[in-house]
Amino acid sequence: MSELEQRCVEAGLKMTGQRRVILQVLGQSDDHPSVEDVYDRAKKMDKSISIATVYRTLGLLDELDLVIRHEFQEGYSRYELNWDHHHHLVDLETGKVIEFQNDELEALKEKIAKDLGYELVDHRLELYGKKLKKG
Amino acid sequence: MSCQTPVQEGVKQAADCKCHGAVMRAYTRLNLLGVPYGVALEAAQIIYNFHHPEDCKADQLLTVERWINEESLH
Repeated sequence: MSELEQRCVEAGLKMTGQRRVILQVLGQSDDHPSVEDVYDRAKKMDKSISIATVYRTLGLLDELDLVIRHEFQEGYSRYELNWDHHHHLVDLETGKVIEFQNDELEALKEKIAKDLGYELVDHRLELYGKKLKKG
Repeated sequence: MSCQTPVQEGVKQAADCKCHGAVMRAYTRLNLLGVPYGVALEAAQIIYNFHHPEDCKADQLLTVERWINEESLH
């Protein structure tokens, strides 16, 4: 069982063959597919999958917080797995966004909140910088 | 660092502004990464401010919002 399937089972979602296919599609997607995109990709792996199954499964995964649903002002939703926690560094000169993870930072955030007498529930952090010149 | 583009009623024209690509790249990418609209907009404004510190905050926001809306209409 994949890590993702394990998370689904832990969240109380019964694993069926079609759900496995949909999870596999999401796991392999590095874009943010719409329901139709997921359906098209899943259909190539299992011809018996219906669009209704994709809608239902994505709805369930959304309820269980296993996927993130995005609204990009396009009139439809896009989905991605609620996979890893990360932050962003934004290059001020190019607008390039770099994703990063840092365990020390995670621990520090918890510590700051705790020192102030709080349990950390949520946070946001974006770093902004310009590239160091070499030499 | 400034794009040296004249302000027209507080709003700079996207086509004339060198920082437009950087502002929109960050906004679009953050949006795709699932960052809430307000946060992505703020990030875009920070980049804009880096290039146009001479603009007041209200004009910066006007310009960036206009660029974003222009982009989403295309």
